Amino acid sequence: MFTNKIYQIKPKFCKHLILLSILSLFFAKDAFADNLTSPSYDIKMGTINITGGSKSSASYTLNDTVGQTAQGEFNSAGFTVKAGFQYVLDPNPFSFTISDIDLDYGSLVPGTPSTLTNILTITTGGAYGYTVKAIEDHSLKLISDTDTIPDTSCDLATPCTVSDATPWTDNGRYGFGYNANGTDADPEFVNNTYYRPFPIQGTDQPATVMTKNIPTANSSVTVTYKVNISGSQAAGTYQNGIQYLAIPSF
Amino acid sequence: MKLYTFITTATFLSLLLLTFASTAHAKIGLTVDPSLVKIQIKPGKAITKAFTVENNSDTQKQIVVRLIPFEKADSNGNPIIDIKSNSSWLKYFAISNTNIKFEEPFTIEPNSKEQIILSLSIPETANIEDIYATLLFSTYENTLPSQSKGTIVSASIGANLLVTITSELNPKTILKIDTIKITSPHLKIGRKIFSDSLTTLTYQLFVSNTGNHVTETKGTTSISKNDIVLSVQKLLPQHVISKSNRQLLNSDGTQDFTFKPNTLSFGWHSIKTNIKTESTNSNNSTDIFIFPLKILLGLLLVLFLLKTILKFSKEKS
Repeated sequence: MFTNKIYQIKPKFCKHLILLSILSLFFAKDAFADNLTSPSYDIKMGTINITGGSKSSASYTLNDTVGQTAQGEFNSAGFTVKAGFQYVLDPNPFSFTISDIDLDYGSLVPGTPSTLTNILTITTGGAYGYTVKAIEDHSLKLISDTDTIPDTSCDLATPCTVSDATPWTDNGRYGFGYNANGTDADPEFVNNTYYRPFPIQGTDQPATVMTKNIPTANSSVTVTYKVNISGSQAAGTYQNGIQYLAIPSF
Repeated sequence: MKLYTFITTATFLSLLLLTFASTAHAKIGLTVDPSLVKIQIKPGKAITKAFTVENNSDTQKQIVVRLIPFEKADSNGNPIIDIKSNSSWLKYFAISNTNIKFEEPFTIEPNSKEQIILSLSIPETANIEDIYATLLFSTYENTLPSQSKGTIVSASIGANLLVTITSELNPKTILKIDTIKITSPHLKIGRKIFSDSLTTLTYQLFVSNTGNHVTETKGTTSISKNDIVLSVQKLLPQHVISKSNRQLLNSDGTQDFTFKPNTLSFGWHSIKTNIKTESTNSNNSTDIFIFPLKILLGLLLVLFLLKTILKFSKEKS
């Protein structure tokens, strides 16, 4: 004969069980130290907020405070923190890659342009968009001297500037410049004959190379670098540095 | 003979490997998380926040971390930064890592991460104001390698900080719906806007924050006729920093809001936009007259052709 054992549990036992459960809610709290030190970190701040649960690692990971209303948190801790983008659910963080960072133009022949390319790739994650800007430290400069290959001004009929790209098709026009090609490329680059010079650090502000105002994953632009020298250009090794800055939108 | 064969094969394979190695392109990959932190903090209080920067390259990278203040942004929420800019409140920030300091290079191994603990300490006497900055992680070369030729490329990746120093949660902001821009074909006579009922109405929305604190927009845009709501679209909540404009996005993350009228729609319709921030509400309404213009023109053309055919037939008979 089947006996339902639940009905055999004594009421007194149930009362004790319920009381114990309620009491455990009051006492089961983690204690967090305010002064944290380790070989890697020395945190001197008076208040450190850590979410519930164990967050152990060789380094300390500090996250947003949860479990209170914003007003409650602001009143008790004196601040509120929101990290990331709440409304675009994307587990990927903001990332930026450049496919090739050493651009050796080889031996240059006067009047014969040399071109090289690399690819800039962005994933915004939860960010609503991004910009990638570029700036050079100086024009291509002789390592052992002060001679430079000037930055391009493109074709004579339509000169280009650090912000305005124009065609550079005349091989009798010398200099160094770039083109950007891709869905997110600056629309100044109408097609692959349009070039402009890089802005120079200390003189100009960085110029936008690619941008988008919606979330995106693996969005790529191909940058083409072009050098053309005249017959009177001094022989030697020329070099410069270009920095790309990838900033997410907020 | 066997030894000779082995040496020859080994040499050949080594040369082959060297050839492939020399054509491999050096690359840079950086990741930062989170890419946005928004803080409201009282004077006299302090907080720390962890950022993770990852070197996704196959080689070790030297990284420098800097804090670049900004005051303005474009209408898509992109900070307008000057990498040489400075501000007196930068001293509120510090890095708590013992081996990482602002403007000093540190190393991240290939395919590895580093956690940067950024601390923010607001003095009791600090002004009630907003401060905005981009935390910038840059690859670093002390000098260009002397044997390098051509262009050496470096990368920087940023995370944005929007900080409101305030004694009350969600301080008052002044947000206005600046512009409703109709982008589908339409006719404008004076202030009156006319659109065809066969054309999907498309428009864009712009807001401006003339207050002193960043705010986050939440709300809806709707089309109604005679107070009957015909269509509602949600706005994607976005941050608008102090003294700036922002183009609103719909919940799909695109710029355009659309409405497909009934084919025979006729009459005044209202584009109504309601925005709620943490502390204020903002409303805007634009009227547009929708009528079956193309259908009417088509009917007129048919009537004209019929009349012409009839006239021609009469003359012939």
